[in-house]
Amino acid sequence: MTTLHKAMSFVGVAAAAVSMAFAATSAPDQVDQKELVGKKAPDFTLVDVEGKEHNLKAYTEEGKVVVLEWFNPKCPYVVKHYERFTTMNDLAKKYKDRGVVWLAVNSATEGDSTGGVEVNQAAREEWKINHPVLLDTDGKVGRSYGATNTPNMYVISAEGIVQYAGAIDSDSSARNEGETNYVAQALDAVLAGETVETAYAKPYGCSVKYGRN
Amino acid sequence: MVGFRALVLMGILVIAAAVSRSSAQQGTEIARPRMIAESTAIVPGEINWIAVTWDIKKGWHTYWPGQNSTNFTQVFEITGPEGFEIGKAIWPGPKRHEPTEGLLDHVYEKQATVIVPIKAPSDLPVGSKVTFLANLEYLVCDALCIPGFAELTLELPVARERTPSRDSALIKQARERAPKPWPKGETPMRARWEGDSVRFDVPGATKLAFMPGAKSVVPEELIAEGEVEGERLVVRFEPKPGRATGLLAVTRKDVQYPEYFVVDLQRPDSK
Repeated sequence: MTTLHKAMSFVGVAAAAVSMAFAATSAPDQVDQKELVGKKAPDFTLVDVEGKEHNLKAYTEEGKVVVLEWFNPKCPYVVKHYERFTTMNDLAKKYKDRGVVWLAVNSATEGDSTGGVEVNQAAREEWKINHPVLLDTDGKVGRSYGATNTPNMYVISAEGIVQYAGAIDSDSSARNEGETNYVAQALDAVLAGETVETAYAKPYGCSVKYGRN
Repeated sequence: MVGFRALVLMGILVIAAAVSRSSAQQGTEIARPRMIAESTAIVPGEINWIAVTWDIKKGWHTYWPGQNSTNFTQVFEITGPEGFEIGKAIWPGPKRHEPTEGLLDHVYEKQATVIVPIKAPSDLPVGSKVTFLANLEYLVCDALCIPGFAELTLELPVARERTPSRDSALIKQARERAPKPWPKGETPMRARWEGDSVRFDVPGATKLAFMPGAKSVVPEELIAEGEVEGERLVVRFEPKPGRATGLLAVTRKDVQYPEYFVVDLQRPDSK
């Protein structure tokens, strides 16, 4: 053992703490999103920032595939995909042409600086978002999906089954876009009637700003 | 060895790059990083300690690189001249933080100092200078989250003897409070697998908390059951991992700061 190694042992360098990888912590009071994959998506009705009502079941009964994107306009990982890159808008537009409904959902409370109509409508305008941003101010829908982060993505088939849950892509930094976009992969598979190869990937981003119940 | 002039040039370029990105660096104003050394000089052939320390504004926090609900890639890279052995970074023990009900992070408030041991080559010329670089990417949050990007340089002379720097006490304290290896031999502390659970027994403890490492499976009910008042803590894993890794924070009566111990416990029935 070198002197350096001895010094490192002395202070316990073997700590797992030095690793740079991260993973999501499951929360006891809400659904584990990994376990939701393959199951019926919880139905919900929410109102978007323009006052329009959206019901999941109504979309799937029309034969639509639905993407849910947990949203927070002030989270740098959301900003990454709307400002630094245009991942969300590009995907929403691309798959809209194939009949996919893309819904952003913000589960922050009304009193949070990232919640409510004003800040979310401003983000829609600034980032030229054409898909609706739904407000889930009591967090019930977010918790029913086990959404932990922003962004946190779900792909729901026309049969109403959760086919994918987790990260938007494979790069959890605030600056780079991942080489693999899991949502695009899942949508391609679902639309082709094939099995989704990666049905869950740990979500990354800020924690969802739920209110305390 | 990379030439000194080349390193200085690299440093200038790094600083220039950092300045050019200033508009995107708000995180560095809230959690301000500094690169520091324990001594005023590097001594050839010896272990020298350097560190990055963050001064964090009140109400904000940065993150331990273990399991957190707030999930992102953190960058902490230290590089130095050729011939130096750069040891692994040692992160201080964090604090449990529930940003909201049902979520759990492990964070640092006020100040965090990450120390790094470096061994200097024995043939390093006395009187020369060496430069170390730190590449940092981190997140600082209160209700909002802001990323911090920083590239720092630290230039030190090479000398035969060391004298404490003005930051030496900070590094010494960080080393003393760093997570310790799990005690071996005669010790009343116990950590063992019992079925799908790990049981910790620490006589004299007033509070115990398990903090799963980055590669660990997260125990069931970590928020509700990952911290207890008392001498015994049981954390249950589902699915059962081959090993449990992370930190155990041990608080004792009349001691201001918890002690942290490294947990790396192989399950007996796993290969």
